[in-house]
Parts: sequence; C-alpha cells; structure tokens
Amino acid sequence: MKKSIQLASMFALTTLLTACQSEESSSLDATDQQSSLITTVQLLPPSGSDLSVKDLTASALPPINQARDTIRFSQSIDPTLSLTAPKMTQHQRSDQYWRTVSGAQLNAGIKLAISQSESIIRVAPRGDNSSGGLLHSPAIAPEQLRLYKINKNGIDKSASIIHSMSDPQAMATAGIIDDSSALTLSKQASPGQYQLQVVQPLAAQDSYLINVKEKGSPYQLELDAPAALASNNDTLKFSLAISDSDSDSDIALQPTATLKHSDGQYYPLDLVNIDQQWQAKLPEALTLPSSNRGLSEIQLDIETRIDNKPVIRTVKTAFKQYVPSATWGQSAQIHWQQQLPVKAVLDLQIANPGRYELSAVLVGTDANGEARNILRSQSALWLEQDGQVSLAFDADTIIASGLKAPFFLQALELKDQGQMARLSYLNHAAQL
Amino acid sequence: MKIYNKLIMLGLFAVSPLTYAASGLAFIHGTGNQTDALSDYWTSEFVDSVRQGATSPNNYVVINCDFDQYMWEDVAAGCLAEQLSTFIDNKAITDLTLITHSNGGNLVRWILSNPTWDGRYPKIINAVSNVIAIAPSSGGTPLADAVNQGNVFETSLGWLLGYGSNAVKQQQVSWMSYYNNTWLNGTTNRPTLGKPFEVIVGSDVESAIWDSDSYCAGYQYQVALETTQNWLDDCSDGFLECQSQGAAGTVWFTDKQRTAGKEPLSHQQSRRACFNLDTIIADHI
Repeated sequence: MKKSIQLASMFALTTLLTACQSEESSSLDATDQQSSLITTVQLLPPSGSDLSVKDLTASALPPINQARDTIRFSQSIDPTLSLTAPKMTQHQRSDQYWRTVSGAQLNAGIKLAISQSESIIRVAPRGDNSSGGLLHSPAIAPEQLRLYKINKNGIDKSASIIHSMSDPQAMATAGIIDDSSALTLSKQASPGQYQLQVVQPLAAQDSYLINVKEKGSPYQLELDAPAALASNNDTLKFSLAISDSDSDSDIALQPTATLKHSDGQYYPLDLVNIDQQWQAKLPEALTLPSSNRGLSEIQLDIETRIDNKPVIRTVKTAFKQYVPSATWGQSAQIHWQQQLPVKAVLDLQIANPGRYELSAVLVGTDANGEARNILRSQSALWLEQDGQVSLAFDADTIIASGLKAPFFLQALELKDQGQMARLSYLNHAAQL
Repeated sequence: MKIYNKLIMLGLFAVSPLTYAASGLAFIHGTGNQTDALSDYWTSEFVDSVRQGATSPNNYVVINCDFDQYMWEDVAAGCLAEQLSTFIDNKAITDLTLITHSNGGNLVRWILSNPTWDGRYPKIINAVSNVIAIAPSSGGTPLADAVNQGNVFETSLGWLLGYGSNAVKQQQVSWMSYYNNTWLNGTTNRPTLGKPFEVIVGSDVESAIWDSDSYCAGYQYQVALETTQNWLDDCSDGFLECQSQGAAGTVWFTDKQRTAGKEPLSHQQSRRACFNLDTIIADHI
C-alpha cells in the first residue's frame, strides 16, 4: 500500500474512533449529571392464567444447560402485538388405537373393531427382552396378512375387503421406519368386528404393535390435560370425551391410563372420576422422570359401543414434569436515565444452582393513551445462590418508538434452562 | 485539495466495515445425521440452482449436523450454530438467508427463539435477514406419533432398536405443541420470531404410474407417501399436514399456487429441483 493511502487510512480511522469515543463519554456525563434515578416498583400478584411458583424445591437432576456466561438480548417488537399468556393445557384428539399382541395371537387370529370404511391397519414388529436378551420380532409381509369380517354366522371369507397393501420398504421411504406393513380397507368394508390373521408361522413370544387408523371417523376421543406439572402435584387432572356426530346420548367412558416417561418406561395409573373430571394419581416414586430431557406422556385407552358399533380409541398427550426451583421477589428496581427506564433488576430466590432466564416486554403509551409494545428483553445467567438478574432496555429503541410514559412491564417470565421448564409468568407485572 | 479528498475517501473506504459486508445463503437439512447433505439430502442440482439467485452466489454453506437429536442439543442446534457462526465470520456475512427443510425449520426457530441459551446465538440472530422454510414440521406430525407408539411390552426397547430418534419423538404432535407454547416462537398467540419466516407448503402427493411428474425425486417415494397420507389430513405432503407446515411464520405460498403445471410438492420433492421450486426460490432471494 502506498504511504499516502496508509496515512489517509490512519487519519480516517483516528477521526472515526475519536468521534465515537467523544460521543459516548459526553452522553454518559450528561446522563450521570442530569437524570439518573432508581425507583422500586411492586410486582402485581398473579391472576387469571398467570403461572407462579409455590414452595421452592431443589431439582436433583443434572441441568441440561450448564453454560456459565451471562447473555443478554433485546429486540424491538410489533407495537400492536397482543401479549397472550401461554396456554397451560393441551388439547388432543384421536381417531385411532393401538394394541400389542403376540405372535401366537396373530397366528390364531385377533379381533379388531372397525367403525369406518377405508380404515388402515398397520402391523409393526416390536422388541422383547423377557428372555434376558434383546429379540427383534420379524417383519410381516403384507401378503401374509388375512382380514375377514365377522358377522352373525361367523367369519365371512367370501369377499375381499382389502383395497391396498404397503410393505416395510415402502413404509420406510415415507418415514415409518419400524418394519411396518400396512393394509387399507376398501370402501365396501362396513363397520363391525374383523379378524386379522397372519399366515406365516410366528414365534409365540414375538411381539407386534397393531395400529388401526380410522381417518374421517365421527368418533374422536378428545383429551384436555395440563401442559406442565410441578413436582408438588401428585395428581394429574384431565377431561376426556368422545365426539359423536350421529348420536345425542352421552357416552360413558371407562378409560385405562398409563404414564410414559421420556426414557420409554410405562406405568399403569389409577383413575377416579370426580364431577365429570378425571384424576390420575401419580405414585410418589413416579412423580418425576429420571432425566430433564424429553417430556412425559399420559395415554388413555377406551373401548365402548356407539350406535351399536364397537369403537376403540387411544389418545395421549405430552406434558413437562418439573420442580419449582426458583422464584422472583415481590419488587423490581427500575433504573431511569433522562426519564427513560433503561434497566429492571429483580431478585431471584433459587433452590439449587442453575441457569435461569428472565424475560419481559417493555410497553409504553402512545399519543392516544394506548399501551404499545416497545421491546422484549431477555437475560440468562448461572446462579450459585440467590441473586439478581437485570433486564436492559435500550434507550435509543425506546426513543425511536415514540412511546412515552406511563411505561409497563408485561409478559414477565422466568425459565429454568437446566430443566427446560417455565416456572413463572405474569401477564401484567408492573407499572414503572 | 482534490487529491487529498480522494485519499480521505479511499481511506474511509479501506477501513469501513461496509467493505466486507456480504450476503450469504445457508441450506439447513431436516431430520437425520448428515455428513454430506449436499449429495445425500439436497442434491447439487437444487443447491446450485437456488444460489444463482443470491447476491453473492459463492457465499453459501450446506449444513451437516446430527438432527436425529432433540433440537436444543449441542450436536443439533449447537452444531448448526457453530457452522453458521464460522460461515458468518469467514465471509463477514451481515445479510444471511437460511433455507430450511422439514425439521430444519424447528432448529432455526429454536435459535431465533432462545438467544440467551448459547453465546453463539445472538450473533447469528443479528446476521439473519430472512428464513425460507420449506415444508417445516412446525406443528409436528401424527406419523411421529405412529412410530413412537407402544405399550408396556416395549419399555425402552423401542429406542434401542432405533424405532424413533429423539428428533422423531420431538416431532410428535403433542410434543411440538408443548415446545411451541414454551420454547419456540412464531406460532399463533406466541411472540414473533423477529425475522421473516416464509413458509412453502406442500399440499399433496401424486403417484400415478403414467404421470412423469410422479417420478421427480423418485417414484417409490411418492407411492409410499400416498400410504402415509392415510394418517394425515387431506391437505398434506405425505409426511406433514398443511396445518403443521403453516403453524409458524407466514405462508409464502402453497405449492400449486406457483409450481410449474400447478404440481403439488410431496415431502420428498420439496427439497429437490421439482416443478421449478429451485428457480422460484432463486428469484425470491
């Protein structure tokens, strides 16, 4: 590089750096001298669908996120976006069911309830370790499957009711990679009882999963259950109903329930029905999974008759089991500069060391007196003991929004990144 | 004086960060442990065609990570963050477009939604200008439920046998509902992603043996995807329902609205140069 260009570059760089430094220092001087202020605001109590922690409990499991660095992030958000509280329940519906059967049962023939023409039946081999070693049952080619209608006179073998078949290779290319075979019933297949039989000789102890999917069936089993469950709750409450577009009568359900942890372990659950809501009692030893990874599931199975047709359904939903490991204090310190809130500091009480994240939306007021969003601020850090976490609010972003006081703290949320659990949520946290 | 001014301008140009500002393109695969996603997942035909639409066609990276794991794991999102971060640093990328397929959209949403999880995330979020999510599994798929179902006889054997990876477990409908409501942004009544997340929806599968269109990306896949459509809504690409694909972000278009011959894009075809998908994206970026 020529000497004249080098000189020009250095001059330009020096000028730029000088300009940046002087701007920053004069800004800080002015702020310090003019209008730094710290106020304390009380956080509003939880209401409505807010989530709050009761009775701090230490988590005994290794944390998923063990990062020690403090990370802060903020970004402006749509001023008119509605800040909606997260849903605390999940709704699931099912038009299918699963059954596990043995090789001996399949060779002898098993009964299946079908309530819908064009239903699809999938047969998937499963594993077994009852002998001490891992045995993988062999796949069954669809040509080895026989399906017959059962009527008043017995098994009717006179008509073919299979529309199409798919072998394990075809199923695998579509993402079902468990050696499944599938057959689809024809339009002529009427609702009722069927017999599924496998011609190929199977070992008696082989294990197979049968999945009957009744797409388009009016009989949908609907489940509403919590999306998360704190460890100090030993009861899981849920509602269960079966939709029936053809009948006005209430259908009595007698479900059986299982709890499945993310490690694949299953446990039967006792159910009681109180005021049309079901409760599953979680045995003390099963209240928490063995790992923070993944989710737990509750699975409900029912067998009933609707309009004199046999209907079987399985429905399940996932939920997070967690311990209430941290909570915030009752107040927040708000740092002001030139009449703008630039930082909120909250006290955190924790039951065990871990990585916790706090987030909130700063809201201002427009010329019409309407509350509008300005920015979302997030901050995560590792805490060994009770401590403080601060949310930064960029003054330039606040000024650019054109919004003024009164300012509000909304959508205040506390998460435990070690458990991957939301611990607390306040839709309206405070007026600053 | 004239020469002096020119030297000043030249000096400014030489030290200005704008000198190195650049746009970049990243291709992010779906579920699977990839070591050569260019050949095994996307094909060079698709990638080379799409990047011709970029401002700097040679500034691109094809991600290879283990997306058989939960999205938040270090070998999944951490691996993605590392490769994107290296790409951003090496090429001084300030304007990054991400092209994702299937579960890759969830990985990107994880990073955009959780800036405080990992120190590498904020830089990536700041560099990203746009996400084009092809057939993202934002709402999960009943097929993941079908594969992961079982009962007491299996206990943990299903996982040992490789029936369902953690990524497949994660894409069960109720699991994605939990993650969307707690850890992922961009779905209804949740915080926005802060970046455009434009979705291309695949709406059907065609496998007529006499129709040459059914052979794009492999006829056998089309036949299989027609079978799996039985577990899905009528509007689906054979693996994902349209509702799931459009659950997060903004639907840019549903296949037939723009594809050549108004052909639908099955889940296999939507990562290949089928029915002008590659040129539609190239013209858009």
